[in-house]
Amino acid sequence: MTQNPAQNTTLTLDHLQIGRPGRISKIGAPCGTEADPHLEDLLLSLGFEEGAMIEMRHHGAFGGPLAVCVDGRMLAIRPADASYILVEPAPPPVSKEAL
Amino acid sequence: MEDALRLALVGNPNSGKSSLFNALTGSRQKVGNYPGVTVERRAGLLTAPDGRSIEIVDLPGTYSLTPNSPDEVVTHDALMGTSQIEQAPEAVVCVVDATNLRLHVRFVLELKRLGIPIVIALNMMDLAARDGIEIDPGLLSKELGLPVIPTVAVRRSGVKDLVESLNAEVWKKLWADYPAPVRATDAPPSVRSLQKEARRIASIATVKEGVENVLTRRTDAVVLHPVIGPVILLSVLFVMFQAVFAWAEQPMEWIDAGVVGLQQIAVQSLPDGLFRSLVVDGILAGVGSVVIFLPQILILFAFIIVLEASGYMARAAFLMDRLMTLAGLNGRAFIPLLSSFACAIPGIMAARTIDNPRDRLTTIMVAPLMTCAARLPVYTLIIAAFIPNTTVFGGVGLQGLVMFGLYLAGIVSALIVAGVLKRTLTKGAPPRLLLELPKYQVPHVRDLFIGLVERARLFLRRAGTIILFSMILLWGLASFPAPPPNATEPDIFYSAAGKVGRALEVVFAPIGFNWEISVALVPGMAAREVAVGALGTVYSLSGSEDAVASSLATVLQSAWSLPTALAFLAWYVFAPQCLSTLAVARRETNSWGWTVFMFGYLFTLAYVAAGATYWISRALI
Repeated sequence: MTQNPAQNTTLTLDHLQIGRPGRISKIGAPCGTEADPHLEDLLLSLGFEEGAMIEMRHHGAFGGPLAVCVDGRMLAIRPADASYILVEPAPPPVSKEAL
Repeated sequence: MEDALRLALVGNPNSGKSSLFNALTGSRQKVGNYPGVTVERRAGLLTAPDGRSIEIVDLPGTYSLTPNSPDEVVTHDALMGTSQIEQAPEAVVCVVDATNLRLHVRFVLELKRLGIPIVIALNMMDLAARDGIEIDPGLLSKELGLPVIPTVAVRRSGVKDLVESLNAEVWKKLWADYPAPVRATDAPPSVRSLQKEARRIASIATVKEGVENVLTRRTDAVVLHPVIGPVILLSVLFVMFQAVFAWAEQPMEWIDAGVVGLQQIAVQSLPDGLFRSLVVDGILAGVGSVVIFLPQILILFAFIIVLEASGYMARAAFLMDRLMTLAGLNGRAFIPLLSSFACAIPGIMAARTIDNPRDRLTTIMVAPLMTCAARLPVYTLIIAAFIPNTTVFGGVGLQGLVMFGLYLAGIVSALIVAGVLKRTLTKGAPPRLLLELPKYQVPHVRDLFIGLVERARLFLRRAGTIILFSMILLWGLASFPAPPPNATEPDIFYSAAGKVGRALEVVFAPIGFNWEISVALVPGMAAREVAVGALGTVYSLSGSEDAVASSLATVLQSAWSLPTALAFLAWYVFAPQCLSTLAVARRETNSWGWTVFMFGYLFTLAYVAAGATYWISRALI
């Protein structure tokens, strides 16, 4: 998957940069891995919702869990489980484009 | 008189459900356990203004009706009417967080399919206003087809309206305006379609979208910071343990003085004899030695309740997750393990929030390794007697350092044992950490108060039952049979307890324990702290616990060698002696096998550690 931040490609949540907002485009197994319906259910019921606004807020030290803000709620998730969430990042701020 | 209306309180976690429950029932609550699972069952009685009595059950918070943890199974079964223990409720109050309307509405949609009358308590209206969110309860009610009552549970606002709605007349009229609840029979819709519907309803009912709370965001920027965050966490823990010792000192002295006073009254008013000995040495000294820990336990719980209610506890789990993963545990295990510093029993019970059964089991197995408050008197006694009150490394008190080392030994071995278990017996998929970091809130005094009263009641009940019983039993065993007339040894040597101790000495002599210690270990099964009282009895002392502790220290100095004392400390880092813990572990794991395993591994570790300490220190000294 390409991860050029200047383009609107989707990326998995664990790759979303801190402070960059986005929108959840899909919840499901990343390409090439087996589906885990239980995890999918857990994520959905906890409030990870397709179409919801999401923003990466904190990375735990040494590959610890991630703290993300989903529609105003703070949720903690481990990077491995975060790869289940596909995010479409918002276009980068105008000031960066101007550079 | 008609039967009480059975009402269930349900809602997502962090919806303020427990606060609402406290506001509704006040102190008229009964906390028990669901048999088979250690999920607390909180029920309370309420009298509606028309005199109808209402039994209200606070069901564990859940995000959906798909049960994922033992907590959620209880809620699921109770609502579905499939529970063996909980009758299906006649009506449900669903607590909805006004600041997270969409998520909560989805749960309401799931609930509606059950065909039970539902009243929505639209809670946290104050926080919604703070964040600039505006919700029209009328529109929400119309869209959901359910009565909606705005509430602020912590301030009791709206609670009266809620109670009012439970009046039989009002209830009937209320429901005249809404479609009758019907149990859905079609296949349940997917979560995604429920989410879509919830989104539609929430957007209609939301007059004004809020802005994200700046305070929570700024606080999180510090609290969850990869460097500052752990520093804050450590400071919080440090303050907590300092408080447990420092603040408890005064009330503990009062309790002690009270026990001594009672003993004096007993000595003065009862004739010298067996009965007086039973009251003074058996009951008062024994139970007093346990009740004295009430202040420490309450202070620890006050911290835990406040940390939990403020929203910090979930952050602590977040910060600890990486470290806990090393031991194969989940960040959530941090909360049960922290509680275990007060007592392993609430700690083991707190493990119920861990959804993965293997993680839960591992957490339960290592919880007793956290140094509980009951071990303190043992440590205090031995340290005071054997560790010189000097300073090392430029000003660090040696006694305090030893105490810290004992705590640390417990923590480190818990992490090691958990790591070993996760790689062998409880092997499985890596644990998951999926949790909500709730918004920060100022904890409410009423919730703190009710929580503490609850803990005090549970603790004192234990002191009044199992500990009282074991002290009487020990006193009996230590007093009979009476010594022969030409006795050369202390009286207890000839008693039943003495015989048991001498028999056990065969097992414990290799690790440096004499028969007196062996005797004391037996009643220590009931509660670890009893060992201090038991040593006092064994060394033929009587009087107040404090007198026992101080003069006992002197007696021990001459009776024990230093290696024996150190071995005794090492023993107590692991000591499996606590019947209540084993009983809770049995109930929680629902397995005798695991309970026996817990006892066995703790005993083995205690034995090996005490033995190693004894032989190594003997070789060195």
